[in-house]
This record gives sequence, C-alpha cells and structure tokens, in this order.
Amino acid sequence: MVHRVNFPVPKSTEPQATVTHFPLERLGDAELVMAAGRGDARAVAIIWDRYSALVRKVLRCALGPDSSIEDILQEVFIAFLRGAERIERASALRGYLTSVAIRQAALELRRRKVRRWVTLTPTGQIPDSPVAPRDTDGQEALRALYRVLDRMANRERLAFVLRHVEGMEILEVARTLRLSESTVRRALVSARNQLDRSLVREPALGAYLTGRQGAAP
Amino acid sequence: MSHSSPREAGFDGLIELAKEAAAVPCDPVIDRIGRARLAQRVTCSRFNRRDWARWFGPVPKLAWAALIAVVIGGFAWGLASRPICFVVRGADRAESYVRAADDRAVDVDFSDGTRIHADAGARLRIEARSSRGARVLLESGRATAQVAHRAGAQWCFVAGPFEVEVKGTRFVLAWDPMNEQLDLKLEAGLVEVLGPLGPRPVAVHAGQQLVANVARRSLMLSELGKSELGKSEFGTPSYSPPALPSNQLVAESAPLASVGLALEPTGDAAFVTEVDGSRASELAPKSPAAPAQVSWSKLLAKGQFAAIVRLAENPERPNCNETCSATDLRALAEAARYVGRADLAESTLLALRRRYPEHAESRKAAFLLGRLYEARADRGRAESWYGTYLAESPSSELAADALAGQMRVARRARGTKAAEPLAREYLRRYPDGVHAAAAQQILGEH
Repeated sequence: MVHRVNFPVPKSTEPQATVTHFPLERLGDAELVMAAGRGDARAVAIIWDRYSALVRKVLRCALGPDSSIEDILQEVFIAFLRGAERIERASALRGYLTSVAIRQAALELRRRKVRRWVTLTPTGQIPDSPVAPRDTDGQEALRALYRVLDRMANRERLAFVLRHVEGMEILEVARTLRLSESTVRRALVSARNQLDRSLVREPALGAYLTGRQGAAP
Repeated sequence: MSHSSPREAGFDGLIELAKEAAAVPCDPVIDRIGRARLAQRVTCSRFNRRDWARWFGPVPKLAWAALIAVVIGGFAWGLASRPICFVVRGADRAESYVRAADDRAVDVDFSDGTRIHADAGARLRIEARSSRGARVLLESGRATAQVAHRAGAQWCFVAGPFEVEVKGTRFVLAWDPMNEQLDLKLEAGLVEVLGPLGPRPVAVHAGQQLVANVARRSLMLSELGKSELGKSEFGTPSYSPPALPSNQLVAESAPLASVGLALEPTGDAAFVTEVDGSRASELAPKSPAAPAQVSWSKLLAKGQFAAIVRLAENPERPNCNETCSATDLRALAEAARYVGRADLAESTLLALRRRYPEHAESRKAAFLLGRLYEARADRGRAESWYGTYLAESPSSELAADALAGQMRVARRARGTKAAEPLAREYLRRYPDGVHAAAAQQILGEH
C-alpha cells in the first residue's frame, strides 16, 4: 500500500525582485560613451565630471589665459556628443576628448586671427582673465610666452604646447594633430627657434629666463 | 633633473609656469554651471540633431552647396530684376500719369539715371517699367529725354502711332495729337522710329530731325543745324517743330542737308531732298581710292544718301550698274530714291534685276520697281512688277503691300470691278492687314 503524503503547497506569490540601476559612476568610459550617444544626460554629466578638468587644462595650455575657455569647453563636449555614436574606440575617451579640444582650440585661434583682422580687439584676443602664477614676474613671463605663441602658426603652437606643456610624446602629438611624426618634429624645432628669437622682443620673457638661470643647478 | 644649459633651465621653468597656470583648479561654482549648461544643451540639441539627421542627413554636402548657391543667385537675380522706379519733380504724380501744368515744366527722374523733362502742358504716362527701362507714352506736348546708356537698356517712347526705340541717347520728342504730327530731334545716340508710314523702322541718328505727319502721310528726315544742337538742356526748350507743307516736303529750314519723304494718300512714297553743296562735298570721297573702302550699306544706315549717289556717279569709277555687287546696287537704289533721283533708282533696280536674277535683293527690287512706277503713274509697268514680286515671293514680308499696290493700280487703271478679285484675295490672305479697309471699300462699291 502506498501512502500518499500530501505536502502542503505554499501559496504562489509573485517574486519580489527589486531592480536598481547600476551606478553610472562605476561604468567604464565605453559604456558611458554609448549611454551619452543615446542621449543619456546623466552619462554626459559623469563624463563632464571625469574629464572637464582635463579638457579645461588642454584648452588653457593651447590658448593661454582666456576668458572664453568655459565657452570653448562647452563646444568641446557638444562636439564630442555629436560624434559619440560614431566613436570606434570608446575606451580611448581621454585621447578623443583631447583631440576634440585641440581642434576647438585651433578653431579659436583662427577666430582670434579673424578678430585681429577686423580689429575687434587690438591683439585679437579676448581680454585676459586673471591667471595664477606665483609672482608678478611669472605672470608677465607667461603673458609674454603666449604673445610669442600667438605669433606662431597654429600647427607649431599646438605642437609646442602639447609636447612641452601638456607633456605628450611626439607620437601622441602627431596622432592628436593628425600629422606625421616628422612634421611634428619640424614644427617643434621651428617653434623653439621662434621662441628663442623672440627673447629680444619680449623683455619680460628674457628677464624671467635670465633670472631662472641662477636657480638652475 | 639635469639641464644641458642655463637657457634650458629657464625654458623648463617657463614651461612649469605654464603647466601650473593651466592646472589651476576651476572654481566649483563655475564648473557646476558648466555642467548644468551642458546638460541643458544636450537635452535640446539631441532632438534637434535627430530631426536634422532624419530630414537632411542623406543630402550630400554638394547638394546643400548647390541649394545655397541657387538661393543666393535667386536673391541676387531678384534684386537685379526689380523694375526701375521714378520720382516726379514739379507736379503731383497720380500713379504713372504725369501732367505738367500749363505754366510749369516737370522733371521725371528714373533710378537708372534716365531723365525726362516734360515741357509745360505736356502729358506723360509711364506705361510699363522693367529692370532695363520703361515704356513712356507721350500723350501730348513736348518732352526732352536723356536716357542713361546701359548694357541691355530697353526704353521705348510712344507718341500716337509711333514708337521710338531707344538705347542710350538724348533727344527731344514732341507729339501733337490734334494734327497727328511727331517731331523728334536727336542730339546724341541712335533711335529707331516705327510707325504707320512705313513697313520698316526709320533710323534716326545724332544731329537729325524726324518730322512725321500721319494725317498728311508725310515723313521728313533732316539734318539739324549746329545752332540747334546742344541747346535742349533740361528745362530749356530749344526749338519749335517746323510746319509741314501739304503733300510734298522740302525741308527749307535745314541749313546743311535735308531729306524728306512724302507719302501720297494712295500710299506710294517719294523722297525729295535739297542738299547743300558744302555738305555734299563733305560726304563725297576725298580721293578716288576712297570709294572702294566705304560700305554703301553702312552709309545708307547712317543716312548719308547723297554721299552714296556721289560715289556712284563719280566719273573716275566704273559704271556701278555694271560692276557693283547686289548689296551695293540695292543701297544705291535706296539712296537714289531717298534723294529724289527716281531715274537713278530705276536704272539701278533694273540692273540689279538683270545682273542678279536669283539674288534676294533682286526679288525686293521687283517690289521697289512697282512702287516707283506706281508713283510715276505708269500703271502698266507698276502692276507688272508687283505681279512679278508676288510670283517670286508670294509669302514674303512685302507680299501684302505688293498685293495692295496691285489692287490700287488695277482700280485706277481699269476700274473698281477689275480690282475686286485682288481685294477679295487681299482680305482672304490678310483680313487684318493695313489695307483691309481699302479692300472692303472696293468690294462695297458694288
């Protein structure tokens, strides 16, 4: 005889699952870029948090003290977002943003030249914003440096700041500027020569370099 | 960090300075503002971008460039094709009608630089305007016009049944509607006058005066005297139209040379002229070699009829009737008619017919011979030449006039009944022709 034992069947209940979004802050650049490409404003905000300082620094290096940096920063991110869906290597976001920033800086340099032609400002520059060198001599020297850079061709200027101020390797500079390595080398030599020649025309720069000579080991 | 030279050390220091300046932390408030600004722009531009991409993304850049070029070109064309405008000084302007008071002249200034000075009492109507000019109707009175010379200018002045086609020129135009008389004095340039007194436009050159009277069917082209030239400044009427004698014209007032054309009521034409000797000698060749250099057609176009006759009759050159080309023979015949040398015109036209029977000018010569003999009342030969022309050129531009001439001659020679078949034929072929009324009159008499 078989005894059938009926075990009590528990009441069917709906699974009580709680779905929570994965914190975007923990997403990698590739996922963020994909989300930004879909128009996710939160992803855009996180990219801003991660890279706005970097881009701002690149722009400052390329353009010098300029009150329009924040506006150009906006343009960099808008340009990045417009092309976000087409970015092939989303993980290389840092380099991509740097490239976009350099392109926007180049555009701004061209705009400055136009402003200079139409004499909107005597130098073509937007009036300077306060910079933060440690001393007055340093501030003057920095202004003189960017005056010299203003007189350079855009290619030489950008190669110079990426290589020396931003600290990029020559190959990286070439990739960012979409130039050959040899072209970048020639541009760097030319920029350096122009800087040396300009010491006569820029006393503040010459005095700063002379003063630093004593501090050299 | 070691440096190869003190200069390098200074350079490195400068670079460090730039790095420090670039790395200055951003004010957190500014950063938050920038972040919010970007989020807002992303929200807006995202949808805008997709709309643009959906509608215009596939359009190639070249197509965009073409579209922009078309838009810009259309805009420029629109500006260029705007009709000229005008202002009236010295009178109230009622739309396009300009009425000069009886005691005050009026100036009309056009935007292309053309000026019209209407004498006191004149009536003008600017009938139509375009970007190239205007059509001005002179209802009555006298007006002095200085038309700005521009490429492609199209100015037309209408006085009664006459139309004066103008490019760039200065002239005085008068129209007397009571007497149906046109008076045109040309100070500069060239105009063509088309009217009911001839099938072709009459070219009037600088320094010439054309007086045409519709009622008398008379037309006179004469040279203006130096005293009359250059006196018609704006606001200064320079001359009075000469009175025309009836039926036949001799320009007595012309001091240098004058050529007149009188059209008989029947429609036939005869030019009468008086050529001053000094003027004729100016037009005559300076040397025997010169005639061969001069195109008679060009002289004809310039109105130098007497010069052509003089060249043809130069005893040092061979007989033109035997040696000249068909074109020169035609020019000589025309010039001979204009200066009243009917005999020379006849011999020239006959020579043209004889030597160049297949030439187009030869066919036209048949019509001119018909006219010439009709004017002489040599009706038999007139009817014959008109018939010859109609047989050779049944559908040409002068066929209607030739048929009408045949009709007139037949009526005079053999009576109305003989002209009836020709009148019926005319009305069948040209029901709206200028001689339709005469044809109907012939048919109505029976």
